[in-house]
Amino acid sequence: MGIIVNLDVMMAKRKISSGDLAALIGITPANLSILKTNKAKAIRFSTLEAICQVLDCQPGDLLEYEPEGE
Amino acid sequence: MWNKKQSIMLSLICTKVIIVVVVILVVALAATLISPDLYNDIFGGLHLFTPNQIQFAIPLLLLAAVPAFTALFSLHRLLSHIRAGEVFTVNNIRLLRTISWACFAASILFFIGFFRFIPVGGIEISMFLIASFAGFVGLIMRVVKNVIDAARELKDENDFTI
Repeated sequence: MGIIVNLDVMMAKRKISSGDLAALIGITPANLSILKTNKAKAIRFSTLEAICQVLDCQPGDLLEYEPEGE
Repeated sequence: MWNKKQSIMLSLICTKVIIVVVVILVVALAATLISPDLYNDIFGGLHLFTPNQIQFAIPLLLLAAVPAFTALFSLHRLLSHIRAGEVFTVNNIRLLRTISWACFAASILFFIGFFRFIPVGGIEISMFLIASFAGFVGLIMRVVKNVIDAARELKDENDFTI
């Protein structure tokens, strides 16, 4: 699996919708959906910083490493 | 002012014109195959082939029309995709690969013609030049395909960087 984005978990904890989060961090809902569904190939530090700021969390709360084949 | 849209449209028109020219040539060649007397009426003035060569040359040219049509229709589809704004796509890479293989197929056919006509003299030089040119174009198309494929990977990476 590699890197897993646990954005939906943090969003549920903070009770924030996709549309609101996308507007607050300044990306499109379509791009947020790519991030949430683990389709993204990379994430900019600026985007990560904005998400962490809005959701009041650390990058480690959003990203998880799972070795391949597990 | 000349713009990108007009340039693509011109390329599309040129492709369509060449398709029509090839269709006319194929029909004329097929007609001479059905009725050999027609050869002198249609192509006689050009002095392309001797009577001994015609039996082999006409089927060869008709066979070469298959890769020619394949390449031309692929080119037309490729240009239509580019006009629609779809450039770095898997579909276009497949079309470029098809064009490349069609050129190689035409090259092989004309090389066969070249080796077949060697003892006769005259036309074999044209066959050799066409075969070499088709092979060279096929190689260029292959390199272009590789470049577009690499660009598509970069674009995918960029599109999925949030």
